[in-house]
Amino acid sequence: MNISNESQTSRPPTPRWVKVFAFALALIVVVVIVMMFVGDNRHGPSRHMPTQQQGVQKP
Amino acid sequence: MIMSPTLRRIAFTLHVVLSVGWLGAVIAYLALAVAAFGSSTPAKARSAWLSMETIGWYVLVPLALAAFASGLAISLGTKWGLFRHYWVVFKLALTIVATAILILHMPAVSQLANIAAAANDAEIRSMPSELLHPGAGLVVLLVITILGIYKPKGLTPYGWRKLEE
Repeated sequence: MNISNESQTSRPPTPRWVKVFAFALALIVVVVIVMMFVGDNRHGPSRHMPTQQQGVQKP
Repeated sequence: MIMSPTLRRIAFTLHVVLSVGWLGAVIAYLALAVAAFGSSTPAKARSAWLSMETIGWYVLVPLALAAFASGLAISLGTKWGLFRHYWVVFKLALTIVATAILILHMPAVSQLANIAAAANDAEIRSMPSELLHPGAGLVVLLVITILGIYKPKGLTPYGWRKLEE
């Protein structure tokens, strides 16, 4: 089997670290989106503020 | 346009300085976030919030944009390219995401700093935690740094096409 000739003519598959990295990033993005829009629709300082201060927030 | 070796060294040095500066500023910001949240002294927490706003707008945002711009210049001016290697693509994407979140988050920090400036001691103690954003940002910057140092192998389909040309 001539590996050197084969490697020159065909592209190797996507490296495993790329697949793992891309999967991890996609997972994190999904988790962040779920946390932002499902758990609590508000995102920003008003989300964290104590109740008595939310009334003075500008829209 | 491929950079000359001298220009490449200058650009690379600038990029490292800006990137390390960004990383250090995030660590400083994180320390202030800990002080703002964990301090039992209202004055210390108040000053931490005001300092976070200053560091955010005048250190973090400029360093993030400058590190992004210098990285872009190096990618386009060297053999690495912008979309030829997976590690460059990931580094670019993470930098864009981190910079965008930083810029989108800073108005909220300003708002909280304004609230902290006018708040009484009881209100200061009930201020929210600001640990999540700098903590996550620090992790992202460490990943970006590791990618830049190790440069894991792997050409994108575009990189292969350019190699075959």
